[in-house]
Amino acid sequence: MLRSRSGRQVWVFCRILVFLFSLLVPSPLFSAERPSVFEEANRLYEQGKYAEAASHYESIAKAGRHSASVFFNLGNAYFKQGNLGQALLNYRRAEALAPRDPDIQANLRFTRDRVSGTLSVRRGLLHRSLNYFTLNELASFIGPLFWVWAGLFCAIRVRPSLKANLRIAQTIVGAALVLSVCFLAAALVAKREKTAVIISRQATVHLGPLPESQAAFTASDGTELGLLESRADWLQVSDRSGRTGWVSNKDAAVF
Amino acid sequence: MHYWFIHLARCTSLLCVFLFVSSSLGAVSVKSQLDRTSVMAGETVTLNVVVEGARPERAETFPAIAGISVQYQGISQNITSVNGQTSVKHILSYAVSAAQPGQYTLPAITITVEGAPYQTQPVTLTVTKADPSTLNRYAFLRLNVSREEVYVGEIFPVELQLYVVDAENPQQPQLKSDGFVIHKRLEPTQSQAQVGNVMYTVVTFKMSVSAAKAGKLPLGPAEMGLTLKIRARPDPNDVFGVFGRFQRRPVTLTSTPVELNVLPLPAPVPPDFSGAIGTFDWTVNSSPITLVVGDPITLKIAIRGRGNLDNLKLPALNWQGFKSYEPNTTSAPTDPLGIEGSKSFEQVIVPQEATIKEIPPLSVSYFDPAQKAYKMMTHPATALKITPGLNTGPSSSTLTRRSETDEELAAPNDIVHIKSTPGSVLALAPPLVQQPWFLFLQLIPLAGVIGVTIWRKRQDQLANNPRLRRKIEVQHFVQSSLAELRALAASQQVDTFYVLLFRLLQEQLGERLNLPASAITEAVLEDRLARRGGTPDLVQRLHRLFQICNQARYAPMRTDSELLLVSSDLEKALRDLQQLPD
Repeated sequence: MLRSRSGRQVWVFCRILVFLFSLLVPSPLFSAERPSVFEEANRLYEQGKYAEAASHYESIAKAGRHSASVFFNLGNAYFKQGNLGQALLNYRRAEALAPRDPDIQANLRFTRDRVSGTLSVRRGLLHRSLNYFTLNELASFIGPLFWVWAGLFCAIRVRPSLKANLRIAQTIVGAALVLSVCFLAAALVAKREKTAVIISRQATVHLGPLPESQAAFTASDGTELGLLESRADWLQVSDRSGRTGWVSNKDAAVF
Repeated sequence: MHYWFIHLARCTSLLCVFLFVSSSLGAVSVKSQLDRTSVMAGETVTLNVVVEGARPERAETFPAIAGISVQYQGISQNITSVNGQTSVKHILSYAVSAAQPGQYTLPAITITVEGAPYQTQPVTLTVTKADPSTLNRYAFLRLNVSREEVYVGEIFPVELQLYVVDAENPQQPQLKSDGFVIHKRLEPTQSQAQVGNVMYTVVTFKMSVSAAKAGKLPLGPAEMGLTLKIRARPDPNDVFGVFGRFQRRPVTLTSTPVELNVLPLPAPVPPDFSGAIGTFDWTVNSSPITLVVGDPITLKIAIRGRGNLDNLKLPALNWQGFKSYEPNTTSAPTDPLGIEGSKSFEQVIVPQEATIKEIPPLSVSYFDPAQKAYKMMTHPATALKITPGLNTGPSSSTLTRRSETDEELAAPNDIVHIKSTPGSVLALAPPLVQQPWFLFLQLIPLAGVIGVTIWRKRQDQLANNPRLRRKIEVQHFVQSSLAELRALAASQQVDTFYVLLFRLLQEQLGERLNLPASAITEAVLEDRLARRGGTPDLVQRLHRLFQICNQARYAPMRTDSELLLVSSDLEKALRDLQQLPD
């Protein structure tokens, strides 16, 4: 009798857990939203009206509902217009939402290959690995894991007789939890490294944050520069070789 | 013996010098240089023709030049050794003077070295009008600018000359240069010059300057502080003439400013003009021109000339079908001020398509101040022979299904097509880890872990401390039994009441005195309870309660009010017992 009662309690507890963490995962209910605008934008794109298609995709993004597909298609629309910087920017936005999407990766590589010059900063393997999962994916994994670990901990403390059976499970879950939290912390730090993507044909990077300042170097459309500091109208950037300078925020977008 | 040793040392030294000198004889170089490029009319300047590498055999005389006199003064030798590298210079000196102001060019002459003819370079001497105010002065400062009209951004040389008979403690000269940018200052050089009947030491400070804005701008004056050493009149009482031979007078010399007419660059400005002003020429070399798609082509561009080399830049090569990289740039000025020399660019371009037939034409614009016009250096298109290589890959739709290794080898021809469905749409919100509700949710298991840990610790503490466990058990027992006792009193269940009362006394006293409850009798009160800090009053009250229990066995009939009174006394006594120290 007692065993069946505790079994029912565990079952209720698991159902509550599943309900709470189902809230964290992107809901497929949203996927049906704004299909008409999206489809209209796709239709314009297929007709070769890239500028109009881009403005439709932009309107979806500005409405506050983001999806990797919208940014991906927006990047395509900009690429077809020859705006490599804007294309790159939107591919990277798409990548942030769906980091393992092969189509996004392919278009990112293709666009980067077409950016002239070698000024773009390149992220290392560690940085790419940290961006392999989104922050929400990591949080959705760590949250339930913490609950499971806490449940095992409490069970062992309340019923010491269970220790022999649950100890290995608790150790494995605990180790996974520690590793995951470390990975999340590193990913958070990596996300703080911002990039300035040049979105004008040719941007002059000045030695100081004034239009009259001497030019340090020029960067072409689509060049990805490391962001060091951001002021009202100017961004302090550095290129791959470590040269620094200031570029007007009209010529670059921060990601 | 001693004589032979000295002789041997001398021979060895001479042999070493000979070996050094002979080893240094290599490539012959000839160059001519003036110790000052700007002098006053009537002043003498020295032209040195420096021959390095071998002794000159014969030197051509300078042709007669109207208004200028060039007189050969002799040859000298200069041996220097730096880090084991010895160099020998033979210097042919000429005294040059001009009576009239103007710009004179001393032409190249031929020097014969080891039977071969070598040409010197022509040099230009600017002769300015003699300043009468400088005649017979002990020291003065001159600012020489070879130009009267310059363009904004154009670099030109400026000389500041200190003429002094004898002085000490010279300070760095300060040039007032509002509206101008001083680019480079050279270390001062020193020479001798005769002006009128006075022989001066001339210290020349050279610098390169450019104007930052248009208009009539004054350059200077320059100021320089120093202490003049003026020979004093001899003291008739000083027999040996060792005291007071010089007077020291600190002065600040000021030069006359020079007004320059600074012209703006004319409009329209060519779109690829990067600010280069001067006279330039270039050579362009591309290689290889037969290649496979994806192979790099190196464009080697060398620009030579006179002007602001730093502003020479290649235009951005956004050529269709080519991928280009930032060019490697090297500058090699041939004069110390950096106004003359060459700048080289190595630009790598990579053709991306086999259909490319040529490298497009190249052009660089600059402004020529002598011609007062923009000039363009152009290079025609270079034919290429490109064959398709491995890099021409299949369409993107198949590419996405390939493995990573295949993707590295083959490049797609176009981007992957748009997605037909919007996919999962997320509201614009900060990540979960930054949302308060998510963090609060994680506090629940954390609170559970903390609570269970505290509970477990308490349980373990009780398990390891029997006295504490007993104390708590007795507290629980007393608490529950007192209510039961009151109920028994109210229902006048006298026998049960006294049994429970006696047990309560036994349990509480047993816990306090650390004795089994069954061992508690009235007899333990006197000695044990007193030792545990029990007051005489408490002991007396407990005696009374024990006596009431004993009397009840013989006269059990009591009223409910009496029972309640006893119950109340017991409650007070138990409370006092609980407050005794452990």
